[in-house]
Amino acid sequence: MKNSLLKGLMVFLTMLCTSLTYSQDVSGTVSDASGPLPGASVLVKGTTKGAQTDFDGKFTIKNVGSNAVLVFSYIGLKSQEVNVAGRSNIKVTLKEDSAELKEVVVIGYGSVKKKDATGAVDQLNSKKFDNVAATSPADVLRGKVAGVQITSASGEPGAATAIRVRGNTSLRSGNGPLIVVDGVPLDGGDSSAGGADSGLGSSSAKSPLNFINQNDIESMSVLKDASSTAIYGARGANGVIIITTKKSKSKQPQLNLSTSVGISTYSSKFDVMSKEQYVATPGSLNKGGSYNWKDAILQTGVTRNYDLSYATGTDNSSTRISFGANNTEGIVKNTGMDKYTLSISNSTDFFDGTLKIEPKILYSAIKDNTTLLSDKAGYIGNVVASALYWNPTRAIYNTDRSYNVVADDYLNPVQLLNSYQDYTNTSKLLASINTTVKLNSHLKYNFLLAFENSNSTRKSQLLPTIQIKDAARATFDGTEYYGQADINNLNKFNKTFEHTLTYNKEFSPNFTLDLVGGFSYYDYNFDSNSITGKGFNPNQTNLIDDIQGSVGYLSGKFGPTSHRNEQELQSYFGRATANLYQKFILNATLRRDGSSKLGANNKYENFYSVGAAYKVIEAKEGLVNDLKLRGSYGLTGNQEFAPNSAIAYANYISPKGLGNQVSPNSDLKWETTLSSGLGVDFTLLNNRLTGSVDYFMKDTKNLIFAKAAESTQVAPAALKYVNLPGTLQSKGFEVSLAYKVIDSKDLTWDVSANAAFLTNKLVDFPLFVPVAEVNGQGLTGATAQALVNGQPAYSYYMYDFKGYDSNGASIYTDAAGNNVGLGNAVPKLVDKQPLPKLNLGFNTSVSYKKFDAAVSFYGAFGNYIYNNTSNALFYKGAFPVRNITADVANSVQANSDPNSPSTKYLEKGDFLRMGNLTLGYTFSGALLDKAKIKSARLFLNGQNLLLFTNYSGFDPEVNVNKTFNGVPSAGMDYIAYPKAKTISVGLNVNF
Amino acid sequence: MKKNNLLKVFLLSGLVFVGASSCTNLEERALDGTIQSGSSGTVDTHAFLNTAYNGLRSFQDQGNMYALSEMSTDAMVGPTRGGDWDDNGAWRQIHAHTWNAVHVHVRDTWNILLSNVYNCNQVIYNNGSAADVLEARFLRAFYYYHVIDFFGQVPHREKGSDVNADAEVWTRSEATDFVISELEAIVNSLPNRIANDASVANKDAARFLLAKLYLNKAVYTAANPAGPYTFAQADMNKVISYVDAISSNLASDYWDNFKPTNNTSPEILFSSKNVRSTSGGGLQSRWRMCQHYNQTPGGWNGFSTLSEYYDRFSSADKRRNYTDASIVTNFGNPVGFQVGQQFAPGGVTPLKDRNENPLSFTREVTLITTGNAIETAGIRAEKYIPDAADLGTPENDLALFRYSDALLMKAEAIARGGSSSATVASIMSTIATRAGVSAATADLPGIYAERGRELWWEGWRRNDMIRFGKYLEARQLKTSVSDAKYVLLPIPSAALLNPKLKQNDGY
Repeated sequence: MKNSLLKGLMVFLTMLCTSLTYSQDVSGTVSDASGPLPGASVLVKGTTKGAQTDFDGKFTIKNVGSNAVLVFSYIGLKSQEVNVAGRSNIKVTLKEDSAELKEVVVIGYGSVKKKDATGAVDQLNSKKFDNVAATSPADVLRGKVAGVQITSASGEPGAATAIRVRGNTSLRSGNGPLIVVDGVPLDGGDSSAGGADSGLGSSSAKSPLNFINQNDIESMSVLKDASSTAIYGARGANGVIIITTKKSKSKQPQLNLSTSVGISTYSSKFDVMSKEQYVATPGSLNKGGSYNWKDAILQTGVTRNYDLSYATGTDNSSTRISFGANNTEGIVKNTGMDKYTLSISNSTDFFDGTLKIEPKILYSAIKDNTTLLSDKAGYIGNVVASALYWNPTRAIYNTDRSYNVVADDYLNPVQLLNSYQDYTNTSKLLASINTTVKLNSHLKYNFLLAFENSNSTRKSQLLPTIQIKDAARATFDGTEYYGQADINNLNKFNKTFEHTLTYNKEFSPNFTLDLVGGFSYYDYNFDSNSITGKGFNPNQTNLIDDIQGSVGYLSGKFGPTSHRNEQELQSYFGRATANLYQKFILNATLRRDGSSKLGANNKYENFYSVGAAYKVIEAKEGLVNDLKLRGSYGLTGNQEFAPNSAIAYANYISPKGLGNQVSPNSDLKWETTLSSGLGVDFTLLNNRLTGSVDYFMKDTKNLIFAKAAESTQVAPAALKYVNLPGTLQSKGFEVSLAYKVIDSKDLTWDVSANAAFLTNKLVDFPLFVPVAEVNGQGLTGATAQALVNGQPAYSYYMYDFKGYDSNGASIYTDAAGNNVGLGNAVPKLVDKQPLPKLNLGFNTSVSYKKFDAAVSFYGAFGNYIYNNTSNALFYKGAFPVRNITADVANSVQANSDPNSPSTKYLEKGDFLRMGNLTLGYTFSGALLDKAKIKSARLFLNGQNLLLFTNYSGFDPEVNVNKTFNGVPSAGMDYIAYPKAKTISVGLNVNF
Repeated sequence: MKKNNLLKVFLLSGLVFVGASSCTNLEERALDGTIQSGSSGTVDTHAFLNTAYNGLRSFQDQGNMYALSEMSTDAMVGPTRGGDWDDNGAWRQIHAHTWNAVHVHVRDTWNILLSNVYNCNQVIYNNGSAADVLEARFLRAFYYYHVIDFFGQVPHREKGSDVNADAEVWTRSEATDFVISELEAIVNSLPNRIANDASVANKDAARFLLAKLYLNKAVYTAANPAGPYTFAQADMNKVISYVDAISSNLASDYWDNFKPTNNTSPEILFSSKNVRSTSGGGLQSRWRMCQHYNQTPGGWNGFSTLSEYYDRFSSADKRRNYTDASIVTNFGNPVGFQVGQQFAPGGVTPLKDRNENPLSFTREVTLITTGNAIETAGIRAEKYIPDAADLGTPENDLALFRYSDALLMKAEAIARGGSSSATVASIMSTIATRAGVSAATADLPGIYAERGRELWWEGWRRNDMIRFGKYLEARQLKTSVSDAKYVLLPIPSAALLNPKLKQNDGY
């Protein structure tokens, strides 16, 4: 026994000695979850010896001690140490690193390690949103980043989306962040046309971000503070979202196929009275038939997604191509969206890597189908409104199967639905070529040339067989004809030219310097035209494709319009970043921007920022692992307002007269936002908890505002764009945390949460501006909100409802606050606002062996919604002719009590929604290998499965466009398209 | 090797594109319009003149100048009918005299009038043709007149003033003096009135407006806008001489002034022109604003007159109603005032309202209608005969100035001390004879009453009631005397951003 022990020890020592003296060549492959990983770093621990993996993820290091330890690392993945232990071939798979501080984040004109960032930057990588059904990239950002609020106008597929980074920075429209796609800043406008007005109100354009397939996105980086956005100068005040598309990472061909199918259904608890409830209500008009609004206009929507992508490469070149097809049916009949996308990207090195050329093409073709939905419908309503108000005892069809037509201001919802057709075809191409020349090892020249071309045609028609009061009709030869067709074309052609020089050098370990300087020129061209024909032969059904049939054609008068404008932006910019003693990072940015839109006397403005970070603790073991303080201060701008706002513009509206006059302002200058912020980034509890805390203040001055015509008289009857005195002050506090609850080989559980608190206030504001139009019968000229000095922007301003008197008449208050009737009521500021005071996001994911599950919640709190739907449709006087909600039917309101806008219709908008629930299973094993499948994952995805709210309307997440005098609205609900819940199942296969 | 590479690289990349992105001066162009700037000398003055003429169509709408002139008086009320016509209280406030400086019709009236002054200035200040400048000066006087009448203070910009600077402001009496001197400077140079088209600025229109200004001068120059007013004999003589200079005569039938072909009426001195199915303003409001949904032409079931006002017409008064065979066939009910049961076209089938009650307009009306009469309360009216050939874009022109008004102004001027060879009684008789009634008393109360009947719902009631000191008095649905401030409208609140404007007293 002892002998054997001794022998063993001898053998071991011999081996050890041998190994100590023996070195060998080690080669191997590094991969990540999706395959071989090129560009990963392999280092022999304790030495400077190492290698980088090639395109196939392969590496070779000569003369490695057989007992050496290799350190494998790659940006965004968890570093791994492997003992060579005598092996000559080592295969390593690197796992994703959720410790966000180690990430590299994309910033303007470059990238930075998150741990070295001086600005407030959050990045969302594709792992977080792959396989989530979404129609727009904006949808996947929702609830994921502190301080980013995404609000869809309605539940319609592809609906316009308001994105706000750190709240509203401006009073007029143009509060959306600058979107930069692969270095190309997009213009802030719509890509598709809004809906024509057939007499029942017009509708808004769809979200211009729909053109990107979210499966082509590698990362979305949100730049929130001046330190990070000042490089975009005049366009940085609302924050910047940088979208980076996927590239090939491998020389080995990779094929990915992903498909899913889902069904969407009505999810709201909202309802009007059923037939039984209606009949049981005193005074009802029982017409003997039967009707249910949900059966009339709603459907179960089927959604299908197919995505195919492949990536490949050679030693000098890499290419990725992807196709996407998405078909989304809405839950309102005749609505939906078909979207086809193509993305091609290539990167090729020439002359030993001195020249790199990266061409990219993103192409999309989208067909939007919609029905007669309108943002500002009058009392006749639209498809949804007429469906809600139709008497539930009236049959839709007569016994001969003809429509039961009641009146031209009381529309049969099914007839309206079937008489209306509306589709938009939008194609968009974003193509760029990025050329980089390595001038020496520290200096690079980069030239980006991009163009964006979009063409959109919207066609809509209302058949002549339906008659709507005062709408869609024309008289010819003394006879009135009905029907309307509208064709609306909208084209954009944008060009981007950017020259940049970047320089970086490590002068010593204690001093590194990064410099960026450049010149950019953007040219945005917009043109549109439209044609309207009214009054058709009652037998004609294809109005939009034979518009010659209209009365207009016969009388030589068609109702055409055409428009065109151009805006040019020209800028010079530079940024310097110094890293001192690997502890302090200092950063300064300057950008000089000029725009053709500004007044002749003020074309240019300088924007700047300074930022600093101090790494108090870095890469320590124990409870506190990293701690970084950062601060920033800077001036950014906002230029989202219409071209031709500063010049003495007028156009001809007949051979005789002029119209659309502009009140010129040659002094119009940039709106500027001075912002400052402090933040802490930290990693705690043995690298399990990472997070950031931010506090910021923003003061927006020289507010570009369309001043009311009355303040400029004698002048054209037009809004005048001026820089208002006064300041929009906002303050906010953001927290984001991510915690690894369990991190073992088989089981991982991550939890992350973010919260943003936000307030704003108008200071020294000289005007009282009513905003947020209220629509409906008897509501002409009514508004719900106001911009008032000393108050938060868009404060609700209306009669304060106090209940009903004994006669059922509404009681409001007078100026002194006494209870009075409508005749003596005065509107007041009710200290309630439509913008949430708190936005929350909560995400958690669990994986156990081959199973994975993720759930995300988001919510908004402290906001109020104005329920214009109730205001316009649900009051006692509407009954019994129109159906109403049970609550109103049972209230003590008198039939004659007018539905004046008041706090009666103001409701809390707080909600918490389960945005997404995903369950997945990843297959592996011999069967897959046989089929040459690298991986396959089956998943089940649910959207909007749970909603907690007290809001009485369809959905509290709503933002119907109620723009009034050029000021956008918030928190307004008016017959918004109801939100769906969707359950889908999908398969993702990698070959 | 490396240097060679760099050279190639430059040739291939950057240099190729340098030419494509050279610097720009960022000058903005109006690609789908024009730049109408005096400094660059590119103002299309004739187009601005036409635009100023089109501005007259704003007087055809039921709101703004029209509602403020009629609904603020004893002649018209815009009741809230359940969920209908609440419109944030806008109509009730006008009738009850409770409007304020953010009232939407006050604001829009200010903008319509003054932006058209601007359109006229573009012609006058930028070398328009001599004929165009004359017409523009008349139109500007017309718009200024209404600003004086409604608001008192009048902002103005003189030739060459900086558009970015605030406008200068005249007091009410300064503005009155200016407009009178302006009209007197051009009255004899203006063209004669064209037969069958009074829509072009003409001598008679200028004479009428001068008479109106002299008649109201006592009001416009009073120390206190609410009176008392002292009418100067010299001013009254001016009224008489300008009316005497007008070359016109009354139409044989009162309703010739309001039919679709009313351009042929010899009595209309100035009008806002409409062309059937082609171009026009909102004249359809003159029938739709009152008519019930179920009537023909279909209406908006809004405004009513008050029984107190309606009862001042005798049943013999031809101005109260008018009908003929085609009206019965096309519409079923007479035009003019409508009370009681209404009928479908043909005049036989009685109509029902939307609650299936008989469509019978009641004499009683309240500011907020209630009960079964929600839709039917109040006496309705159609001042214009609907154009059956196109109810939406009709042929009827809007009569802005009528000769019968001029005659009544002359009678009033005589009654207020002016001298004339004619007598008040003879004028009153002329007016009454056409109306088929006996003449009213030949004194100021008689003239006031006759103006109320002859010019009903034509946009002069507020002006008349103020001049006769009746405007603030309590009446049927305005049960207390109004504060004196209401004889003037407030300056719209946002207009006070021009510090030279001061809010009118009391607001």
